[in-house]
Amino acid sequence: MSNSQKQSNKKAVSVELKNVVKQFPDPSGGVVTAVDDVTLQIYDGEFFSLLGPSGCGKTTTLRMIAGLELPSSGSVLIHGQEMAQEPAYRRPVNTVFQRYALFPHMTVYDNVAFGLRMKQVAKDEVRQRVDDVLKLVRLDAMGQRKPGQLSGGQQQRVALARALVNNPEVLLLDEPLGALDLKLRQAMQDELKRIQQTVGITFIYVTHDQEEALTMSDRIAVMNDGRVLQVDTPYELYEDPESRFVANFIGETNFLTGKTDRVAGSLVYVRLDNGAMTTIETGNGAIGETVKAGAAVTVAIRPEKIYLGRGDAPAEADNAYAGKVENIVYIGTDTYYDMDLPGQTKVTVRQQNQDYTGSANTLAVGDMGYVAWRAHNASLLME
Amino acid sequence: MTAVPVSKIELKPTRRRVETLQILGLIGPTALYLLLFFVFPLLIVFVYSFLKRGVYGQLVWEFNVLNYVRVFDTLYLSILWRSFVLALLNTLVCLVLAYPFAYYIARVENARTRNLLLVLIMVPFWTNFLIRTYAWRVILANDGPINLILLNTGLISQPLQLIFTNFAVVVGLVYGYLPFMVLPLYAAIERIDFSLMEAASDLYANGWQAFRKVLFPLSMPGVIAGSILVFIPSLGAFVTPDLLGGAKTVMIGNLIQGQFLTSRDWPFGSAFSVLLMLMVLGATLIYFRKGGRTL
Amino acid sequence: MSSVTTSLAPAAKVESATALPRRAISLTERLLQVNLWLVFIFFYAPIAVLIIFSFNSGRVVSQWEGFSLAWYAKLFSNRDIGLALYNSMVVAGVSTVISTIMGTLVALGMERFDFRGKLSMDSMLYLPIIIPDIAMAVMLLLFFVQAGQLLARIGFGFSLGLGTIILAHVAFNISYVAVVVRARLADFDKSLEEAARDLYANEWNTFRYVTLPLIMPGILGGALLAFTISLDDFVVTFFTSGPGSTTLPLRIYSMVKTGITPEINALSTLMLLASMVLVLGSLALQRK
Repeated sequence: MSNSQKQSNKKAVSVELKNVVKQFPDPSGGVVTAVDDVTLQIYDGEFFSLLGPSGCGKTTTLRMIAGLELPSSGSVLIHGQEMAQEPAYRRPVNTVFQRYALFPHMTVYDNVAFGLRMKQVAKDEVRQRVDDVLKLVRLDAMGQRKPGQLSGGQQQRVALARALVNNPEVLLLDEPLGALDLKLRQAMQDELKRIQQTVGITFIYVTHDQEEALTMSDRIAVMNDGRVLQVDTPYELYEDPESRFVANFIGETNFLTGKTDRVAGSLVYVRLDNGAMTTIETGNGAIGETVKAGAAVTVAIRPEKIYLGRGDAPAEADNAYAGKVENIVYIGTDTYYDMDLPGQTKVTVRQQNQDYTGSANTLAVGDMGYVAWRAHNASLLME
Repeated sequence: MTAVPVSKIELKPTRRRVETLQILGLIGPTALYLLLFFVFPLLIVFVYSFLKRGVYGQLVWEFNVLNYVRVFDTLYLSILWRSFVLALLNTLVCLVLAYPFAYYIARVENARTRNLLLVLIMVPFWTNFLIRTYAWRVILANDGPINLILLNTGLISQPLQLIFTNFAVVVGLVYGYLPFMVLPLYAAIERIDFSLMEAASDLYANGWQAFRKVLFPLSMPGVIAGSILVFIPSLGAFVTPDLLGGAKTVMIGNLIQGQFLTSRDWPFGSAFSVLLMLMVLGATLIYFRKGGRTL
Repeated sequence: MSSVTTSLAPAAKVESATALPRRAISLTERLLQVNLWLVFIFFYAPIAVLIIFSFNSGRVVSQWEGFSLAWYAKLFSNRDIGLALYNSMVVAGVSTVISTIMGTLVALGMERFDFRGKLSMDSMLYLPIIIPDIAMAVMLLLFFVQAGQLLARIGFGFSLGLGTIILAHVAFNISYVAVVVRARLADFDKSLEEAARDLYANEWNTFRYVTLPLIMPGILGGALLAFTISLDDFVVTFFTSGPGSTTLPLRIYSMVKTGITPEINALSTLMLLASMVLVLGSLALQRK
């Protein structure tokens, strides 16, 4: 987390949330805390994603930036201006809604012109700006259609144009691709990225789709249960998750529990529950100050980072353990091997079905083999 | 996290004041209007039903329950009973006619044909109720088309007394309220997944059993809604028995009208109105208890 | 996945019609068809009889004596009917305007806000629809008589007439309008209003440019329903009318009571025609 944050700290802050809490009364008379003490800084020109499972509070967070919900406490700053209690129509942000929310009784042109007309922009300028933005989203021929006559992808682009035409300081997108099918979705991801780079506006993007978030974002905040668990670049989030939830939500991970044995610089030695020793290189030289020997920890290792070998493990290998193939699942591009390690420890290995050298693994269920991984590929989780 | 008291979740005082004003502006006029022209009259009828009629038809302010006691007079009990039976009979006839009808329409594949059939049952319904009732007075008359046809074909030698009978009243009621039965039944049946019927026949049910055990239970919400929608207004019917019935087919509605406009015994008429409203409200409560939602 | 299921559903329906044994279908199906035709005959025969005999030259309603427009001529020279029609239009028009405005406002309030006493307000709105019109009629009669006597004492006496009929019609029409508009509001996609607010529209502009145009079909539908019900109402009008305020249904009633004449048939035919035009017109409007 630290690296990316240091880098982007030089940029101007676009949106800042400070200790934002949102509670709703629930039907039984209690309260539901949808967003729980969220603090975030989003920088100018950034493509920032809020990622999490449904009900994690990401949409509520977005709606509080938009002004469609007011926070129960905390502050929302947009370019340094306190906006927490301002209504939506007084905020310099615009939203692309989940199901587009296009006005069905207006033409595409009138939909896009709506915001400018509300701001009482001069007629000629409205025409100019609407024409320009419709060109940007490649819908210049569709101005006189009604939203009902457009395809899902076209409606999506109208929604985008309707928000962009106002030159917002920040564009908020609430699962904008959720209603599209896979092919269109992928095409629209590229399109969105292209548009963001063209206009240079800060995008705050809500999604539950980790792949989408990883592909498009400069930085991602992973949320669960109303809290932000980690804010990082896609690379850092994937390579160095800080919690079980993040490790599991983004990609797949093996978790091995144990206790730290000793710490040496950036290396942490962990005694796993099955008695084996493993080494983790944390990329943080000062880790010794925060990790105490004997602390209960979890070691996370991605299935594709594990090497699967035949026969006995070579003595000089990094973290190599013998095991038996328990199950094999072929999924086309890759094959999964469930490996049974001593001490009732199980590890899943993902191997690419690439066979250039002809030395592809031909292990069968029941065969013995070994698994091994580099110390810097494993992550240390303090839980 | 910082604990926020529930009260803080609510709006800021100024916003709350604005909202209160909005509610008052939107609801207020109607609330006042209905209080004055609906609730207040309702109370007046209630009060009247405990008063007495003077010798010259004037009102005597003397609290008593005699009006309600009088209801138990066999004459009035028989009118109550007849109203109940005729309304029930009407409901049953409507159900028997409307169910296969709604089922047939619900299964029509073509949406345009389906909508056309639905519009066709609504069209007569949009015409004036009096005229619809009057039409039956013409048809069922002693010299009306039905008797004419029967006489001409030699099936009868004397005109049948059709008009001014209970039969005529039920025909008129069915004619007036059948659409109320068809529409909820159609809505309920149309929603049913017909592959369930196939599943039933796959599981050895014959046509009747599949209907009895699968289709009918699933369409129950429509059956209940339709029955209530037909039963309630026919219980308080006034025009139909007045135009198609005779002295022997008086229903509650006619009785109330008579007390108000002929005998000028307003307290007794009020008592009957209160009873009628209670019966109708009872039926409505059963409907809501059974999970009905729409009116 | 969901698109797969929906696309399969109609196909499955078609299959079910052909998959069942042929003989079983034809019997049930034939009975269903017979019932369909019987119901339609039941619906339309009385109307047909009215229309046919409105062109009968003779006085007897069921003996055809030749084509004639005499009854229509007689009808058009009947000044009472013209006056009754005028009264009906005034009552229906005024009560529709008032109840549409009030009903729409109350529907907005009920759908958009929570407040104490909402449940009572709900019942107060539904009761006028549920209560039999004869009960509604007598309670309004008692009320108007009482109020008239009371106000007469302080010099503001009034008698039953068009005014009281309109007041009575508004009392039940508000509820019908409110039900229709509320249904429309309940289907309303709230994110459209949020989108408007996000696009710099304040509350009034959001209502003016987004909410109102989108619920307009509901409001017009409610107004049409109120107009039809008001025009059609006999019982409540009967009890709350006074001398000189005879509406069309009241006129028809007294004509029917005094005896059947083909003149009523002619009037019925014209009213049928008018309501068809009205209904088909509104259907065409809704399709837009």
